[in-house]
Amino acid sequence: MRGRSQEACAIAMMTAACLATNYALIGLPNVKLMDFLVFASGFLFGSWPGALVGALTWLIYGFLNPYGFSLPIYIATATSETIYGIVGGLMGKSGALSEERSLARSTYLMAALGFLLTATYDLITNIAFSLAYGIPLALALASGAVLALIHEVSNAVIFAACTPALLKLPRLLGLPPHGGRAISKGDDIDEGKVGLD
Amino acid sequence: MMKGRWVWISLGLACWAIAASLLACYFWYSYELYRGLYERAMGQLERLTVFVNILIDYGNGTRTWFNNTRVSAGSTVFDATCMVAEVEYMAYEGPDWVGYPNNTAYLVVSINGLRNNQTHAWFWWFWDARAGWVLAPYGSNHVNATVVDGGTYAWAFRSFATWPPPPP
Repeated sequence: MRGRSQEACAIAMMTAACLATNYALIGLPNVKLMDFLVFASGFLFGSWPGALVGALTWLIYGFLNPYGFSLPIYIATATSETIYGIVGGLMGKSGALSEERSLARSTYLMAALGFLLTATYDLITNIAFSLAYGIPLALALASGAVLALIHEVSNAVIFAACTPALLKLPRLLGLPPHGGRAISKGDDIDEGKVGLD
Repeated sequence: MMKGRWVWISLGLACWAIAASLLACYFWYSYELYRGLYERAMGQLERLTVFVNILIDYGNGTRTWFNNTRVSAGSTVFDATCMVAEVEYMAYEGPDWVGYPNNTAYLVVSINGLRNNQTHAWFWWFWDARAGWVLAPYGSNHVNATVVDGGTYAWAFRSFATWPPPPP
């Protein structure tokens, strides 16, 4: 039960961090720390909490958005944001990203992941935009190309720049070496590990 | 090891391909956007303009054609000529000059530096499909000298010795 409550706490905190950075960066269209934070949530706490952080952030940010509210876009963004969390969780589990591996290699992988995940996210949201407003998909993709490129390149840079910190976090937080649920003193884990509490 | 390297290279290439495709999309979109704007502007311009052909005959064998010259609808032959050549003129104002803007008639005294003199002057003609060149019986800024779409007009430097002066 404690593990669950810690997980809930971590989700709430990461969602709050996502929202805070989103509103702080409102003046920079498509440059957001949120995507990395959702990925980090998945990487640190698992795919499910990561996906929840993404969905919950959009649940609030999509509704209270200075750029306006649109239900189809809202659903598309809230759904597609979860891919960062899910992939983050999978990366954490796979062990492809860890302190033991070369930092340059991890940074390169994170930059590529940031770029490709964002490209997927942009594609899904553009499809939703095209369906919602009856615009041809090619036109929707073309008209949003520059914003998409800004989003993808900025995310590649953010993901790469935050890689060293992200790789250190599991050890600092006392999380299992390959991600997964937050641990606590009550959990059946190896001795010497420290939980979130 | 080789396989791993190709995976890394492929990842980078995938990013590059997406970025290049997005840029291509952007340029295609910009091209279509500006082409549409250009065509709309041209459509509006065509409703407000006409095409005319203008001949300038210097009387020494030199003849210059200005075909398909776009001029504002409502322009006179004088206005159209000013668009293709350096024109000097004298204004004659008075109640007798009926049909001229502000009762002011223009006498063309020079085209592209060739000035009227004691024996020669500039005259203008319009082309009639049945009659051929017709010497205009009014000044080039008269209301009747308003150009029509597809109209053909000529200026020629001719002697006064014979009347009417020979057409271009």
